[in-house]
Amino acid sequence: MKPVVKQVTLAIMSLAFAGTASATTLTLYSAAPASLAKALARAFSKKTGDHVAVWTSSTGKVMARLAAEANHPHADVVMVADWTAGLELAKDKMVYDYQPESIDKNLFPAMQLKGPFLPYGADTVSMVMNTKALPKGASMPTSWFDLTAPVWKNHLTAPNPLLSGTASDFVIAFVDKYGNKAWQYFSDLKANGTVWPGTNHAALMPVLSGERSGMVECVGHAAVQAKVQGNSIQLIYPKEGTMLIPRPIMIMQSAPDKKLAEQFVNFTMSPAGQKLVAKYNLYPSLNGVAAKPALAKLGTYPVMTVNWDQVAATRASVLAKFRKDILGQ
Amino acid sequence: MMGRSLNRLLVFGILGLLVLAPLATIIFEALQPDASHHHGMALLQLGVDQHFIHALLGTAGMAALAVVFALPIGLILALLMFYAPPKFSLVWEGLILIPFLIPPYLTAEAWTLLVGPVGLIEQLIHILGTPLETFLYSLAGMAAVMALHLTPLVYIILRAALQNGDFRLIQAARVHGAGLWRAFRVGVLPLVLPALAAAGLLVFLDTSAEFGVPALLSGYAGVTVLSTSIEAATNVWPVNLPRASAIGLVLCTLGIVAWFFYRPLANENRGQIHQLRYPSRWWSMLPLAAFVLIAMLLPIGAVLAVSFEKAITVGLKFSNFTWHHYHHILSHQSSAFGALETSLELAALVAFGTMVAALLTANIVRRGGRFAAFLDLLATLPMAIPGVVLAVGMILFWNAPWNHLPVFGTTAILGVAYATTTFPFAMRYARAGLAQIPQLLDNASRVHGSGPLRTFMKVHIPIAWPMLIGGATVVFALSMRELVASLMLQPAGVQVISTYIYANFRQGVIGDGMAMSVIGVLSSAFILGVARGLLLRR
Repeated sequence: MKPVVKQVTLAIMSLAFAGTASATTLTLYSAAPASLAKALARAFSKKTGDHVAVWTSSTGKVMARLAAEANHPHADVVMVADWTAGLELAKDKMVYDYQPESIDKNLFPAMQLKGPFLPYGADTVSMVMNTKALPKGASMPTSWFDLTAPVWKNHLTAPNPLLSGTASDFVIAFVDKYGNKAWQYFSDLKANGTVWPGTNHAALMPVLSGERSGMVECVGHAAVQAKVQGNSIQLIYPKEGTMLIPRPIMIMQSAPDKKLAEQFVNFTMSPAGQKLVAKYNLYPSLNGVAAKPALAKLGTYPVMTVNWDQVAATRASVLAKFRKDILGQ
Repeated sequence: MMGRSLNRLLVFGILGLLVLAPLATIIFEALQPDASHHHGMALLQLGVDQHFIHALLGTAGMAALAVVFALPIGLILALLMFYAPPKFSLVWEGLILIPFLIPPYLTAEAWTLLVGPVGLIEQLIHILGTPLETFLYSLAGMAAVMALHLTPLVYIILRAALQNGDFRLIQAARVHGAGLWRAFRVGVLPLVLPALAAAGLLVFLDTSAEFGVPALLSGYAGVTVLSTSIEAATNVWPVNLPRASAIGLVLCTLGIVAWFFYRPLANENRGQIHQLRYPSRWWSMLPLAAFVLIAMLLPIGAVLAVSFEKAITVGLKFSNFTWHHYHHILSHQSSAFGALETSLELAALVAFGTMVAALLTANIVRRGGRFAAFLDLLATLPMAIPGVVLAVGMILFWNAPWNHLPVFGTTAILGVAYATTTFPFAMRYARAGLAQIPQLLDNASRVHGSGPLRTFMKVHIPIAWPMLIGGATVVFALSMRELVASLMLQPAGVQVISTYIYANFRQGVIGDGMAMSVIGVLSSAFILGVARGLLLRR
């Protein structure tokens, strides 16, 4: 009995020390797609030998964690899904200015945006329908506002903008554009039985299974992935315009090793990094790297024009109102 | 004397850090002055907050419904197994207990895969998919999932009560001409009433504290509950920690009240065990089999089936079969393998550490006295504290501006959280172990010149050894399945089995998550088996 106890004790102690010993690593917090963040981290480690510790969640949770850890920051680099979240962090002086001209000038013109950070890619917010699960008598919608019609009652889902970064930018920009009409729209959707079950994936699942017919404001990469897998999914780009949302990659002011963080950003913005961005169904931002053929070509559908700097100021108040009036939390 | 005060100091330090610190910071945070410098506003505001009231009613409703579902089923199972046992009753008993070993979030995930217009049930028998789905995504559906998980617990408690009761009463009633129902009412019911109350309170307590099941189902059901509201106020921007703490206090109070009533009712199985066995009846197999089918075979079958499927909507076809998910999880590079390793290491470490701490605590508690009673209360209190509340307390305490210990943001925080949640269980086994030691042996050892430490190591531990191993296995198993604290506390680059399964399910990568569930359950069962085999060999 004795030697076993000794062995177990030794094993446990070695485990304890293995757990606390930490090499110099880069810590990356990222919103979905989680697989992209992990792929970038892996490719970067392979190239440079530096380890990248990744924590992935939805944008709302990444932002909450950054706020909670303000006293003891852990993240060095942050990638989220919506541009205004980045501007919000910049406003709180948490972002280290890194937008080198040498990278910026090679981006698509639509991606050359002001801000102390770079867009590592972009994604759309459009409508999604399961073509095999449409309600009887329904025809494909062409406008955002079609979805409040009685025929869609209890047939729709939407992502929770408090969790999903792209959904939050959609709601903020939509409210900026339509004002009270936008709020009326959201309460009409709610009165029409629309549910906001969580992240984009949580909202998309009942649509894939046919339990619900469609999803208002679905993020492009999730919809395209589901379509590629063979689900009967159709993306619909409404006539008022689809939302095209740039995604920021930021170096935190608190990062102890800015050089390492800059290297990671440089890698993400390089052709190799951008190819990974494309592989996980986002629009790459570097000129010359093509998006997946499964994504509709930019310019073939109407896009809403949004002044991000202007709408960012309303982010907190719009989301607070949405949480209270629409989600009832 | 030195040894004893050191022991006291150590125990108080451990329990202070594990239990008192997070609780105290939650109370402090809930009472923080708001923008208008009024103290306790976060708590007062809840009284007029319609959304909070909804969530409170949601939690109370879910917990009450779970009691309504679990008690009668558990009672029927216990009565059948006692008065009309089927053949091979030991096997049946094992089958009835298994649903308790499946983590509730996994049962919920399995049922979402079973129901629905393209779910597994519809694929197999072409009916029931849609009505079952409507039921699952409702308050009653969430309660039913919890009831499936907790019915085995009800069964254990009631079975023990029947075993300890005086079986002659029912015979006397029958002899004097009472019908079956009347004999039951006068001869059995009074015996099991306290046990029924205890079981009901335990089901209420566990269900109201549950996070995983409502997190997976309530979004579709259009219901909110307290545990998910607390998580949202803590984890979703903009964060509102005073509100999270205030709701946490309410949920905690609910738990502590239930636990306060439960404690005196919970008597360990120490009555006389009758050797009497009722003759076995073949028909009692039918209801038992129905329970086993719904609570165990269907969910486990769903997990297994989906872990071998390429695309879940294609269904059970040979062309849809793949080993890929298992291959992915067991390949060294994958994050899944890392999660598996982290879980196993953490659970082993916590099982060892918590058992040692519980042993030290039990060593003081067994000497009696007021201080001992207080320690005992503190050590068993985590039973009543919901995991989500504990996690908020841990964030507040370990991430406080003045706290510079490198615990938050490292894997260590998960170990601390697991140690707290499992402490009451470790404590129960440690106390039972030490209770077996006759005072005579203590005295003999001391008379022959051994100090307290030597007596402890040479006399107490060898005698209590089997109980300590039993406790360690329970702590290990509970640590392997912990979900909510892991979700809220896990640092960058770290995942554990439960968060891997949960996150993959939420991201729609279902096959990998299900394969991980199978591997996680099998590997922990294997390790527990080996550990028990090695350590208990004498």
